[in-house]
Amino acid sequence: MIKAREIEENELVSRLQEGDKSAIEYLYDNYSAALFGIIHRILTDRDLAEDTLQEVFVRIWNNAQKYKANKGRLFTWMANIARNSAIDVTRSKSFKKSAKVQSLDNNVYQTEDESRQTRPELIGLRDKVKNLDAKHIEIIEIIYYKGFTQAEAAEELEMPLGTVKSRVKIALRELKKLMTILF
Amino acid sequence: MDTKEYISSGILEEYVMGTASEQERQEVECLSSIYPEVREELAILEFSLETFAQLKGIEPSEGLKDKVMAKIDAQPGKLVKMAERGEREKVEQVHDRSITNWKFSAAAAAVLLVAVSVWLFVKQDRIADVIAENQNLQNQVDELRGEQLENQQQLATVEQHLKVISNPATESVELLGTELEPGASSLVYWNKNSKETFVRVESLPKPPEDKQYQLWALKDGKPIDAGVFEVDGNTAFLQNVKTVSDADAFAVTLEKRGGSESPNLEAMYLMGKIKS
Repeated sequence: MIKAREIEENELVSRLQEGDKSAIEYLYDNYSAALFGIIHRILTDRDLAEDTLQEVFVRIWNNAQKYKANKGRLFTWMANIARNSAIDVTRSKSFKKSAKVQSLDNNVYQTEDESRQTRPELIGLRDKVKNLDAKHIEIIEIIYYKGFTQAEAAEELEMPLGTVKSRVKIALRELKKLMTILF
Repeated sequence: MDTKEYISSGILEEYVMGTASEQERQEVECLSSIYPEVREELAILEFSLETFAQLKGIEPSEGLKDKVMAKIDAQPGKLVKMAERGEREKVEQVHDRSITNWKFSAAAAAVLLVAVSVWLFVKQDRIADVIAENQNLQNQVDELRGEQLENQQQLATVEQHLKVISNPATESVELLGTELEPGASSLVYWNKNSKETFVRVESLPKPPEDKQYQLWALKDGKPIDAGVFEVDGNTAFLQNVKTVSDADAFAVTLEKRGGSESPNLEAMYLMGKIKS
């Protein structure tokens, strides 16, 4: 019932846009970990990442009016804000000076150890995700999480652009299949 | 437009990953507002990525929530203006487009068909072709509708399962193998409030055709039938069994197909206690 889910999200969005604090609290409770996952993978310094997370929620709150439902789900919009905010930080002068420059090393991809998943029931699903082909997880991490363009990803991973494009397609197909395991 | 081809072109994937160009984004947004199947596919892709992000989430520190709420309290207040309300109503109307589009498409198709029929009545030799075309269009509409319903049902089931396992009232009980099958395991999800119970089969040998696994809820040592469940390649992620009003532990025995009134203790494969 995609309709029922849309109505829930509709209501949440209205309340958020009207300035109902319980709406932003709900978003924090349910999405802060997912958004922090994005931010922290770009900004590996935890304090900096947490400061940025705060900024992101304030931004979501202040710019709620800008979200338009026809552009996709609310989470996609929030994830973009999180990603862009973190990337902006990496481009700031103070960041560059402090030599906390992030290089794309493989440790970043294993940050899931940090996650103390408070919902043990989701651990089973997480295991399924681990079974995804590493190269598919990698392409999602570098493009979706780190915000690389496909051209940048091709350069970074030293592969042709065509390979990147097809890998993206396949990665998402695999993700979709994973979700269908829940049926 | 061949929506199947569009959907398999990879452009929707680029859109949700954030790598589509401005022009491509507009194209996707436009087409998804016209074609429900494009919109459905987009929603499924977004939902998949969103769930992935949830699974890969990292918990921020404990005190951060209070800091965030304090910062938000400090922001200037929001006023709901009539203009914003109007904007919101527009958004709500846009959301009705799933159904509205079908009605619109059906109405448009009907009008079109009537117009074509009238014109062709004048050219009577084409009437047979028109009738065939009508039937063809109707078949396509039915097919797409069927697919859309299937997707909706699938999403509904996914959401239901996710709700079950992430509900704090749900107790998850691990059942481990007995001597009969030491490597066996499964999970029971038991909602203490609603009493709904689900079984997640993990590792259980496939039973012979005439037998079936049965779940028992054990309370004060007494076994209560909790229903039978399947173990084959097609089992769903969670299987809904009978409601369980109270239990200290769960066990699974192999019974005749359809289940028995009392458990065959010599065919007990799994057992697990509820942590108190």
